[in-house]
Amino acid sequence: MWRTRGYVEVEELESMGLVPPVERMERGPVAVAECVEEIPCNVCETACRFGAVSVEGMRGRPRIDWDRCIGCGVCVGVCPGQAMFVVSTAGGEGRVTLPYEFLPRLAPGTRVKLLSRKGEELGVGEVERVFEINKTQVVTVKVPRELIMEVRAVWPL
Amino acid sequence: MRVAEHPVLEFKRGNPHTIVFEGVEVEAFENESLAAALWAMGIRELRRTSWGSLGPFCMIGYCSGCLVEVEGRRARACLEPSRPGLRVKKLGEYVPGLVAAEYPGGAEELEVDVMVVGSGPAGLSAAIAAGESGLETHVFERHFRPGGQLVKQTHKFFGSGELFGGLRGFQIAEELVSRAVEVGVRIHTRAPVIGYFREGFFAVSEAGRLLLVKPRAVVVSTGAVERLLPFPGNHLPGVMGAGAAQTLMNEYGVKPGERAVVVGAGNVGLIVSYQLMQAGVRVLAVAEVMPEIGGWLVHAAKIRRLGVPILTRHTVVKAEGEGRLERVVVAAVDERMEPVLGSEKVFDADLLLLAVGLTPESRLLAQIGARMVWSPELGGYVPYRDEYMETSVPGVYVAGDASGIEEATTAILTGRVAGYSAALRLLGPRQDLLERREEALRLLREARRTPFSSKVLRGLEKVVVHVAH
Repeated sequence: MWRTRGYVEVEELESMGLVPPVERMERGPVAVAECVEEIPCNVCETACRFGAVSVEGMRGRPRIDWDRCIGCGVCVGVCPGQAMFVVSTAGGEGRVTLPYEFLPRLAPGTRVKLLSRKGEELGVGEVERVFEINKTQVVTVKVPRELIMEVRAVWPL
Repeated sequence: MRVAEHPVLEFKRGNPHTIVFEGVEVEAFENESLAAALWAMGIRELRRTSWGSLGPFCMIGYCSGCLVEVEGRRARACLEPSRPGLRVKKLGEYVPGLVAAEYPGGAEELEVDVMVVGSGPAGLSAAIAAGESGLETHVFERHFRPGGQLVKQTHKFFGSGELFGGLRGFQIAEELVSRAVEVGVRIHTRAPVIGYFREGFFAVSEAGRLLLVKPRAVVVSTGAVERLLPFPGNHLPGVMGAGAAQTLMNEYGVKPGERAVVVGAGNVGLIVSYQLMQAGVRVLAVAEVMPEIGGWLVHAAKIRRLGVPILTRHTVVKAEGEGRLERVVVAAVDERMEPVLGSEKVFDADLLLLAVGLTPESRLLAQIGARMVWSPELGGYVPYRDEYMETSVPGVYVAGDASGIEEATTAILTGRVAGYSAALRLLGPRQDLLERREEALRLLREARRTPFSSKVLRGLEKVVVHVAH
């Protein structure tokens, strides 16, 4: 149960229909909302310019419209719970976009430790792209393609 | 140690200067509290008694852990702004009472429409509501900067745009303060409200003078105090409330420690753990006595993915150290919440944060004569009130954590409700004010529709009195 573990397992996300289909991830970046409790918050919905996030009555789980979502990563940067991620296996390469609020600040080319939901080291990856929203860095990192649903944090080497 | 660089905050330190602590010169900066300056210089013990060393616990002027002698006067180091040449001494076992002639400037009278006690999210929101209605509104704050505990919140808040969702706590505080000033609210800092007198005035100490404030309506938004846990060594410098560590690292840019253990996996414990890491502190473990994590999953997930263990069914049993915290002993608990012998884990930690809940600071209301009630669901003694936040004393309103422990969003909303209620009392049933109050009440009901609110709602059923208006 996630309330004793402190994180949610991929299988649980799948059973709730929160993981995009494989074909969609191959087509290009798409958001994954790992927000499974009913938080009174709709910051992601308000921030999405593509109308791709909907939160039922401010309290439901955010649902991503995988056809509308372009994987821009704005929701990753605004989410107060840091529960939004963008994943892609386009071109056979794995990429994860995640929030980062530590020092040193990251820049394209920086090599970082890849961490799982429970803080296990999954190897080393390279930062490809970074932008910032209200002091949160939105970091896209290259990862082995089989790890796009596993890597959820990075840490300076 | 001071934090030189922070991923979210920029620390604008004032001019450096020197203060003298126990005869030794110590570096400090303008705009920081004595407690922060001393902690930054590695001074942990502020008082020694026959039973042990004491250090700051709450950092917001409620506990007595940082009581010191400043220029021959007794003062809380956390509320005292540092100034060049200040002479500070430790107090011993015996703390002398207040000396006479505290107010050489005499007393002044001040008549106001609305008096607000406390400048946190609730107080500022109430003041904005009253101020924008055209009433002369004065806020009294004991600290030297306004904003209450929002000032030290660095995480982004949940919510919708109309309730500051997505903004960081200190950014919300900045917005509330500037909005209050914009609508003509006067904020008095370093101005603690001492008490209420039956003749209809409040005594306020401000800059060495005594103010006798006569308000036509009052909003009491005095916030809450962090709870202490009973265990051997809980007095040691380095054992403090989670909020106290936030004050040090997020308000003043002072590193509270190097290696921390956090007790309590509610939202406060989870959020403070993440903030510790942002300030460069290692978090060794979070211990939670209950079988499950109390806070939102997303806050737990933020620290779990960075490798911080959350030990459920565990609690702190002992803190040890010579003059300061050096070790923390944590043990598993059984079904009866009793520590299991042999399950102890020892952490070499210089910081132990207690995030085990808060208690409403409602003593001023009791002193005014408001009817109080003990509510475990709301965290302690709270006043009976109607849904418009008026207490049993006509014209006296309550808002925020002083009315029951919730969080910043509900504090803002109960503040708005109280502020508009005060305005309606003084200005009559103006349609625009009634509408704005209804809107705040609607948002409040919305904000309380979470699993965490069920306890609060049970408490409110017992303390909200329904009256025909």
